[in-house]
Amino acid sequence: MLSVVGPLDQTANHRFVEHVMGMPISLALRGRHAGTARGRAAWQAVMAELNAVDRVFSTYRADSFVNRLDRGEIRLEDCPTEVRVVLELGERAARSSAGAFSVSLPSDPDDPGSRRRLDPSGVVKGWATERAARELETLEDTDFCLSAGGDVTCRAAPEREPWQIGIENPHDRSRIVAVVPLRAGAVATSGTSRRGAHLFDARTGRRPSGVDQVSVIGPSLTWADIDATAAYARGVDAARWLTTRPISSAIVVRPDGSVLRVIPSTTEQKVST
Amino acid sequence: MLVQSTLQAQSAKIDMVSGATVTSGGYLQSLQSALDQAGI
Repeated sequence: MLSVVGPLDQTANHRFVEHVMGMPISLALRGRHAGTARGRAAWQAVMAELNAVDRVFSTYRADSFVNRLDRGEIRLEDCPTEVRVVLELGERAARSSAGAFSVSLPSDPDDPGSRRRLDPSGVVKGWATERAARELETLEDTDFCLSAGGDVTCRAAPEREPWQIGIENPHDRSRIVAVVPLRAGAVATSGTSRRGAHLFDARTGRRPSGVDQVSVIGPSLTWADIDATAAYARGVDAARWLTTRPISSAIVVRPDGSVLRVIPSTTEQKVST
Repeated sequence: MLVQSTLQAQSAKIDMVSGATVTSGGYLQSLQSALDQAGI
């Protein structure tokens, strides 16, 4: 890796990447602790938290608390308190989306009538990443941009440039459809993916159709993730529904490739086709 | 907040990519991995 900057360069990114929960976790640090032992320790603390969350919540691990709860082998009182926190977030998300979002989803993705299983993945990813990012907030005079499988949370000091977040083109992953400058807050994206097991319109039990991708920009990654997932689940109603949400803005990519920029309290604006 | 449409990541200075398909399986061919490996 080519490195041409010295320790006093406050603008250079220092990068880390590791995999957990079946996705890459990418971190960029910039500023005083970007290259220090404390910076590295904060990164390791982030990864330790995400690994701990995976052990509790993974629907892919037979012995996770979530799967054992789903099978009726344990009760909610037997689980770590975070499980109740996540399930309550799921309840709020279900109410705000009129049931399009749910943590109770068909166990067979091809059978809308199959037994419902507990799958809080739509809540856990954003919630866990926002929580883990608190480790980075303790680094003085240090900017961070943390992406967990494409869900991003960041902070940039006023004297430095905002982070530039590219929104992936769902029809061509080598390209982007927009660039979002972000100084503090989050961007979460939901859409067609190879591991989109938790992406359903829970009202019908079917895979959503109508929009191909939703990205939500807002102050909280937990709710950006929930709202992106819920909007995607609502299909053609995604953009309208997003105007009712407490978000900064959203970007919706439709099957014909057109890109909508959604700003709450105004009507949606078509920015490009 | 300004949102600009761009056609290719290479023509814009991107720090991070937000997408729905960012899995470990697809990571090596992804835009994000190019950013991570460039270290900039």
